[in-house]
Amino acid sequence: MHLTLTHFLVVGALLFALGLVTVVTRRNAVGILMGVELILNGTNVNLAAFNHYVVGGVSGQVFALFVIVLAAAEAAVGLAIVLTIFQSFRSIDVRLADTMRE
Amino acid sequence: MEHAAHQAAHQLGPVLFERVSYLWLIPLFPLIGATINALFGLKLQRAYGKKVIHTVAVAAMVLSLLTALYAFQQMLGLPADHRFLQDTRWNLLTAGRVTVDLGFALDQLSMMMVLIITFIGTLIHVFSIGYMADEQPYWRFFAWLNLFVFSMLLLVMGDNFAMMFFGWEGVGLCSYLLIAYYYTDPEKAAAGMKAFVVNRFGDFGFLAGLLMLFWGMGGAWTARDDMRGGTYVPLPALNATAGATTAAQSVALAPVIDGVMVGPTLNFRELRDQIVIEKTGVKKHLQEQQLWGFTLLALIGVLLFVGAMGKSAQLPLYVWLPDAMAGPTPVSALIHAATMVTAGVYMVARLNFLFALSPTAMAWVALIGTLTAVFAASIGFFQYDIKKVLAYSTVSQLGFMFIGVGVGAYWAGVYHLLTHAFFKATLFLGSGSVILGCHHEQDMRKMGGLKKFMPTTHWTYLVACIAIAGFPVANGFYSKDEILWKAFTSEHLTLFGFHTPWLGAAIYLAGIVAATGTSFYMFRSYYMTFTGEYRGGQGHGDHGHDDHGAHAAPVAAAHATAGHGGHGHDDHGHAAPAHDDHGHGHAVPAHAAAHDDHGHGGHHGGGTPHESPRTITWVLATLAIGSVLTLFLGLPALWTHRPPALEHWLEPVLLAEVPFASKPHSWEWIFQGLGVLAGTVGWVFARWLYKDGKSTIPATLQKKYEGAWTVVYNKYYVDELYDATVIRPSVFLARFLSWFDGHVIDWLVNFAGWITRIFANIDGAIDKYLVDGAVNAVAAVTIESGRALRKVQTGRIQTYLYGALAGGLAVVLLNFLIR
Repeated sequence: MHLTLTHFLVVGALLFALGLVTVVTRRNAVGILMGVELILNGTNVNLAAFNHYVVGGVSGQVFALFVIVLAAAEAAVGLAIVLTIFQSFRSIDVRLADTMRE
Repeated sequence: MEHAAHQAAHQLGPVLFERVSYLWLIPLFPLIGATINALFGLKLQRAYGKKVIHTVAVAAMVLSLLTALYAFQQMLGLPADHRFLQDTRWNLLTAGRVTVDLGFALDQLSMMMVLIITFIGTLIHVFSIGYMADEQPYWRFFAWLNLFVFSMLLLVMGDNFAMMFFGWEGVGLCSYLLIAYYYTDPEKAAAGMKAFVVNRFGDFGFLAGLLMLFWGMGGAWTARDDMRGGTYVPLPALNATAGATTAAQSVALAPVIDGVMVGPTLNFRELRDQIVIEKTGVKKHLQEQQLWGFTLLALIGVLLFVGAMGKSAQLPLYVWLPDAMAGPTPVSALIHAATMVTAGVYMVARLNFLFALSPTAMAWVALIGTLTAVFAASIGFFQYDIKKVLAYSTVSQLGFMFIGVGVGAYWAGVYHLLTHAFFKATLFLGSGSVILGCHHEQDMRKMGGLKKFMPTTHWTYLVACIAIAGFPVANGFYSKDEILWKAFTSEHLTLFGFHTPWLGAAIYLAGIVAATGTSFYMFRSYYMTFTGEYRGGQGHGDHGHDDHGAHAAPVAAAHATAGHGGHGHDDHGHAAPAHDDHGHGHAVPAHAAAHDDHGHGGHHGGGTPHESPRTITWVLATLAIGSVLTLFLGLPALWTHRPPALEHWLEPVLLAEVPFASKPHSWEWIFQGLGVLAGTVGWVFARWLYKDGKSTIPATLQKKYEGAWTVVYNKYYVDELYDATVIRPSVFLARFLSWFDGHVIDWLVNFAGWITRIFANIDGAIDKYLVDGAVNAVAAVTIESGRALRKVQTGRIQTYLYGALAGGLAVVLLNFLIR
């Protein structure tokens, strides 16, 4: 079986969809962060695949590398926020962090 | 007529004057005295007693007198035509042509006035020490007396009309304050107000005349070929000073003709120079000007004289002066006899060069003076209040002065001012001494026989009586005789545009009648007061203010009630030695009706009269001696073949040349004889009727001519006439206006208010319901929509994500659909 672009795109879409579902459904803040990672990795797959099959060169991979770095930074900031949420509410349930609504 | 020719020959030049820098000290000292006593008087009096108060006041007067004497001495050292001391302190006000300096000037006339004011003023201050000793507001009296002297000095020393007017109003104020000195008595307070209000009428005339003069002088600035000796001065140059803002500018811009600044001025010296020096054309210009069909100069003269009428108590504005006797007697002597009331005479004499240009104005001055002299003298006949007699006498004598200045015998009028200052001050202070001695009794019916008790007062009063009656041994004869002689020989007077040479003789006749009357009522007061037996019993009550129309004959009405022991309380604390001396030998039960019902409620317990303290008697003696000695100032040329000393002294000031008819010397001798005869007739009658209070003829005569007596006794009902013609209508007008104000005006105001309120209510409703409604509606909508939209913000990330997803899907779906 020959691997085509479509395979990669399906994997990327699956990863994105799974990440999205995770972000939307999870109550756990850490879980949401993990979902975000899945979304970003889904994108990375797309970037690498498009580069390989359509464009050529390495710019897609470099882009993916940037996304990975960015995800790491994002995870650091996100975890810091989660920590403060925990300190405030003694829980990381995002439903609790709604005190600023009316 | 030869005078006129002589006049044309010698041209008058501008006044030569000497600048000095100490004249301002003369009025300053009394001002300082007044300030100290007015501000700290009460405290000083409480802390150190009355001595401090009168020391301050008298010291101020003495310093002022000494400065005046220094000025006099300096003036004597100058040549006769150079005797003009000028002291300009600083510029008070410059507005275009109006330049007012704080400047003092002394010429021969004002020098004389200053010496009279400071000398007699000092004496009267000293007199007041004894006279006012019992008054509590001692400081108030001396503060105001000093303030009066300050104002009076400003009046005579000010070198311009503004300063004079300042003094003019100042003396009016002090007069008011001092008349109403006993202001707790409503009658006396009212007398003060009366003096003030009547003087306002006069002041209005004065101010109107002054402004008219200023306006009239302005016309002389327009270029007229015939008035400037052919030199044409363009109009802009003449009007240049209208824009001046500083004195120097004004002076620099004023056109100068022959070394004399021409144009409207308030300065007496500049005014005199302009009018006297013919080349300036001012005199001609003024003479030619007409206003409302009258000669401008006549209008100015008459209006200025209206001012003099008020201040110097001439018909018909004299009514305040008799009432002014409500003030303490030293005030009557200083203000209402010696100085302030002569301000009008002084003003006319000061402006002699102006008055002399208008025979009409002069005739009016003389005529009013004559009428006043006769009228007031006749009222004096039957008064019982010793001060009222003297008050009417003052009015009458002021009439004589105005005859003098009116007919053009300026020096004689001024000389009468001087002699009157002496003898009338003596008379008033003598009456003050009598009043004090009789325990504040002013009714001559309750005096009598005071010769024994008050020797000094007696002889001084007698000397002054001789002086005023016109016997050649004292000063009054010389001034009165000169006035009447000049009146007789005057023939230039003009009335209503008609030349009236007969007016002089008519004035003479009326004057000699008034002189006879003067002698009569003065000796009447003398005999009633000093001769006979003392009629003021103990414990009498009637204070002499009763309006006894006719219930009392002069003598028979003596309320001699010796049996009424001293139960009147003496709240003035006179240390009369025989104070409670019942049944002493002098109390006379005597005359007919002893009104028992008058014996109660007396103001002052009786007792024998006593001589006054030395501060009083010495002053009286000084003034009486002065009344005699000043006769040497006016010895007639007929006797000495030299012009009288005072005439010679005043000649440079009183330069207006008025033509007099020349009559033979024998006539002059006859007229002098007639003057003495008039005095003698008055004296003989007074002696016959009132000597010793024994004659019953006055009572009989009075009964016989009841009607006439009542009219004269009630002062011809002039006060009632004023009441009916002036006061009642004004009160009625005031009432009507008050009603008009209360009903019509107030109703209009209220109506306007009501309308406004209705409109305001409508407007308020619009504001409340329409405008506010719209604003509130916007706010309500915003609030409601906000409340609804807030629900969207749940605070849950997932909710937002659902939204975002839905949006994303919608975009994707639309992408497909639209394609």
